[in-house]
Amino acid sequence: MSQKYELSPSEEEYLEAIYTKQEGEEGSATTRNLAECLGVKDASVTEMLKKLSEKGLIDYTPYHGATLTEAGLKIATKVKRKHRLLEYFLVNVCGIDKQESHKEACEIEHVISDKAIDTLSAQLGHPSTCPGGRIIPEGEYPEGESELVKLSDVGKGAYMIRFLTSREPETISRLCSLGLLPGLTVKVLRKISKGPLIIEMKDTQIALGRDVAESLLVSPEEKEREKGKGKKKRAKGAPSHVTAS
Amino acid sequence: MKSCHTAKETKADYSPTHVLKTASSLKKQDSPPKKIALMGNPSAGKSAMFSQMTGVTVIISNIPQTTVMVQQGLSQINGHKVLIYDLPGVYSVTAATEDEAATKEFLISTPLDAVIDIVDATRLERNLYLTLQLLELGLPIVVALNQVDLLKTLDLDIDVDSLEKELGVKVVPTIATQGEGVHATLEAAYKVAPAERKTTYRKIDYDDHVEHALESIIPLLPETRVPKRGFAARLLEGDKDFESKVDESTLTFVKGLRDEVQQAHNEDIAVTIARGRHSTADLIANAVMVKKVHKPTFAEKFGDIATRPRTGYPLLFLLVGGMLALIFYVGGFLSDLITAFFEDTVFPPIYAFVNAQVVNVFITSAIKSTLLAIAAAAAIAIPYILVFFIFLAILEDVGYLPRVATLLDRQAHLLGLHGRSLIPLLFGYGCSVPAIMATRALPTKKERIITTILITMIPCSARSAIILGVAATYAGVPYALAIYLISLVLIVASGRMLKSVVPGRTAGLVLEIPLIRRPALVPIIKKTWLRMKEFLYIAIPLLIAGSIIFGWLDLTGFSRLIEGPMTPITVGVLGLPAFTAICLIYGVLRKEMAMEMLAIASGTFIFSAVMTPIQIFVFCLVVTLYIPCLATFSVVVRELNWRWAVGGSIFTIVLALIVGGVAHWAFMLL
Repeated sequence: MSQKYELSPSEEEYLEAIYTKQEGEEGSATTRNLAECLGVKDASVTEMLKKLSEKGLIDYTPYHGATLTEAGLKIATKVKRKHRLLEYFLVNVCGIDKQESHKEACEIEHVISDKAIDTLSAQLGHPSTCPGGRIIPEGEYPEGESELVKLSDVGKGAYMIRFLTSREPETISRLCSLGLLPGLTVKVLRKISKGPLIIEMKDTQIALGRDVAESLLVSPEEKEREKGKGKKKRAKGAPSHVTAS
Repeated sequence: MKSCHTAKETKADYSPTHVLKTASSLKKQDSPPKKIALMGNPSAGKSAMFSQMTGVTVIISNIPQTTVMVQQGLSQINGHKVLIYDLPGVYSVTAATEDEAATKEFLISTPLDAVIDIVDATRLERNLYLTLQLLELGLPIVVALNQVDLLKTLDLDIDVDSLEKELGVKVVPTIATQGEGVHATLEAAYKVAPAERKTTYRKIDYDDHVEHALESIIPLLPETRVPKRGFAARLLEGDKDFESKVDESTLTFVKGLRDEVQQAHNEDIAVTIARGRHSTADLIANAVMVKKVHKPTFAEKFGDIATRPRTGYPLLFLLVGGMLALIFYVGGFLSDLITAFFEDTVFPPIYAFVNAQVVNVFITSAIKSTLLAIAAAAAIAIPYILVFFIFLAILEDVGYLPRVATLLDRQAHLLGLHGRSLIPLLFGYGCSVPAIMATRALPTKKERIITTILITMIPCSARSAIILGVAATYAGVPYALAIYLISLVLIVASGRMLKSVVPGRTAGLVLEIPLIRRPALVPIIKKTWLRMKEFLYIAIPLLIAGSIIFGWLDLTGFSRLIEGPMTPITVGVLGLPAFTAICLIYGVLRKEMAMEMLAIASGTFIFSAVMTPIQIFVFCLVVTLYIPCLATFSVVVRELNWRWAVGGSIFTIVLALIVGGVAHWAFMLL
């Protein structure tokens, strides 16, 4: 049951601020420190907190403080993720200094779509920390969209390689030589039961051992999904975020 | 046209360690012939190209510090002699497999005048991956765009002029199997001017992080014949051969940059750099290639049949069965003919002469032994092994073998191996020597070791000759089948055991499945001939030497001497007649000798008269399992090392004794 919350930028800012307070030493956000942090009057804070509480995004006890509900946490995490990823992008790719980037990210984070940020993350290679050294929260994959599964678990159809989890140098070298890299679209032609997969990439057929296929994380190709051809099986325990060793 | 490379050649950078005599063709001319290397992906058509360019005069030699063999042959273009090297097929200039490492070693240590990069036109993007690397390393290359005839069947078209412009090098369309374009390629290679390469070659577009890093590294690099950009890319990648060429501080700096890039991308630097290379190759390929709508051809359908399990397994059984039948019926027939020829036509006059003229008994013995060895080699090598090689070469060229490896990958895991290892194992049914040589293509040491040891346990043609000729004929067919079955079970069990015992990793299966194509006669013949030469070169000296020594031992009565001490084993453990002792010893030299000696020692060919069926069974079983023949032993030493050769031999001897003993006692109790 996922509801889409249409929040105003300032509402998102509040959730983000509460998230930061919860992450930090304070543990929860009080009217006082929120007012300080956001640079607004106490009264405005109180009003906003009431509103957010009505929406079910926070638990608010007057004069005590606010903590995020599960729904609120989801949104705040998402905003935080966007912020930190944007900071990363602005600092590392655009070469803008940290302070400026922070300001810019604060603006952009409210208007950039989930899809755009997920794509950006993928393009950047899913960085795990922002320039400030804080963790970038994992992305959420709402139903029907890019869920990463193992190549060994999928059925016939077209997929895009997203990530390579293998750490064996020979396997990595081999995959590199053949061009089986993240960003490449492959077509699964045949699966030999308990045996290798035969895939097609760049007009060539390649046989992949099952263990190698397990180390390749893929997502279904757009066109195939819409046509409904690609059989996307739900993988048991598909990892949503994989870190390099 | 100055050839600036000759100035640097002060001595031969590698010397052949094995030479087959082809005297006159190798006489040096006034100016040393230009050196040209053939490179390309496996299945791109290098062998075909090489055999078109060179004649029969081909030397096989070692790449130093490896066991990989390189063929070199002389050719000529417009009156000038050139020396052509056929390097192993590789996808990339890395050190991932022994073949790749050796090729890289060769490229680094040998100053070449030109490199002919053989690009498979039907796999343009993939092949360009290698091409771009060769360019990045500053090698003077000419591209031979091979198999252009297949483009039509695949509804593809390539604009050669465009490709030339994109790459900045000469591109010659060729059909190597038919000799088309070979002359033009050689000509272009002869004329290629190395100096230009450094500025006009197509550069790889890496991503921004990498580009920044390269820019920072380039100023620090020494002047070498490798373009600085390529040098920098290699350093960034962590290429050991290039790292050894710069000083400590530069290395540290590069490492820092590498860490930065890896952080930014959250992936191995190898992947990032590979991606840059592949995307450039992609760009080029897409720019020059036109694809039309394509319907699968018969060849493609056949390829499908081979890999689909439901049809693939039956096909495999058919082919293997057909091959074995071919080997034993045709091979057996030829073998008898050749043996008869030697015995009726060759031996009598020579024996007569020797007996009359030569006084020294030892010399007589030596001469006779030599003749026997040659006859035996001819009678086994030509019928069985040659037929086998031809069959395998055909399957190889057609493109069937990788499909078998895929199909049987799962079964190979039972042995602790991957599908790739099955190809050398299949070779083992013909002869262990080429089978073990084929393990060079396996990517990890562990797989090579396990596969090699298992190959020594597979019943080769010689052993099959014994199993069928002795056990089946004189004890009964069920016994023969039982031996095959037992050996199979033991191979599986040994494989699993070795998997835990041998240190190291195995690499997962990542195998290209080539297109099915019509095999061409000439390359098959040449390939088979070269393999036979290599095999005979190893086997014949050993056989002759071994025969002479054994002959002398026989003469001095040693054979009888050995019987006594070995009784505890032969009679006690195995329950065999005492005279089998000498047969087992001789079997070390050549497996079939065990059978021949059995006839001599027992005094008859009708083995059932002197041994019970059980004894025949045990004898054949032991001969099948124990220590590989001398030729195989020497190849194992060469490919692995002494420790594994000796260790493996001891293992098989012990195994044979245990299994033989168990069989003996089991039957006693029943």
